[in-house]
Amino acid sequence: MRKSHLAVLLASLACFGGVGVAQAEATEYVHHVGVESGANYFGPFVALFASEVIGAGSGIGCAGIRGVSGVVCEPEPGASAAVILTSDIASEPYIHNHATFKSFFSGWYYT
Amino acid sequence: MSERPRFGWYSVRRLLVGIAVPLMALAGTLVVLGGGGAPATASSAASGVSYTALSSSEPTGLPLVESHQPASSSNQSGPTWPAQPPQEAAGRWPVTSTIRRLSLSVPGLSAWIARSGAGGICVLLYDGVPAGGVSAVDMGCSSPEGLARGASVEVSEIPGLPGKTIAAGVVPDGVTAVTTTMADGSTETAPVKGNAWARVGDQPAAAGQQSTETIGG
Repeated sequence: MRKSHLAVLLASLACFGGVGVAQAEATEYVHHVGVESGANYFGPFVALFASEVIGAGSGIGCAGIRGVSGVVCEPEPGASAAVILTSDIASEPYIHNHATFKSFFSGWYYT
Repeated sequence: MSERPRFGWYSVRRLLVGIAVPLMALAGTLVVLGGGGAPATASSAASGVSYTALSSSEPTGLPLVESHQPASSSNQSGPTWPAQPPQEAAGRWPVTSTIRRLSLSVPGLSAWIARSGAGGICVLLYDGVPAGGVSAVDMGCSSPEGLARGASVEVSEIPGLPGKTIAAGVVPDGVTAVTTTMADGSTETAPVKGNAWARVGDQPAAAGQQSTETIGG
């Protein structure tokens, strides 16, 4: 490839990168935490627009945002459930264990 | 001594190459930014499982937003969806281009179906009740292995709907009803229409119970 073509290519990529679509930032606030049956695990107080739970055990986990959203439960153990808001708000993401036994989950929030 | 024409074929070819290279770069960039590129196909050839609702051409009615602003600066009253899934969640979350609206039998609820980036199936649910100036979309995505069982979400402790539990799900073509054992031991059967089912009540599903799907009449 000629130098001039290479320069055009690099300039194009830089240009498209500059106008690239903004992506949310993800934070795993807890990894494989054990939560007792019916109990909640609360994450940090942060600005966020989404809260997600991913099951690591055989229990059904649920994700919520304290005081703002309902709590939404996984379709099946090991799947993903999330609540996504219209706007960023200041609150705490949390995990609820819907199973009748202690199980393990990872929790994420997005901002 | 002959001179190369100033604007001859050689120059035209250089110009075409000069245009083609950045266009190819643009196409590649858009594919990368496009959220995974999984097409909104209605069936998985590998599994034989199909979801006709994924082929709908109706408007989704779910505005896509590039970024989320603080609630005080947002003028969006209804639900929205991120135009791009978070990079770390791209496999688990819906592929934006595959989101299709569902028709639910329960008034006031809105729902959507989508493929997940990893090859599972997703359901998105909006309860129609903004709380504190924000609307919440609830999302559940199956694992790729769970594609044949479908996906569901059950939402409780909803601000504005005290004591109510809402559930919605998607199931493959051919499933006509979904029966769930509730926390009090009773059972509830929801009819399926267009791959979708929903229920609203004062009981959550019993912990640890899988719903039963009815196929055919």
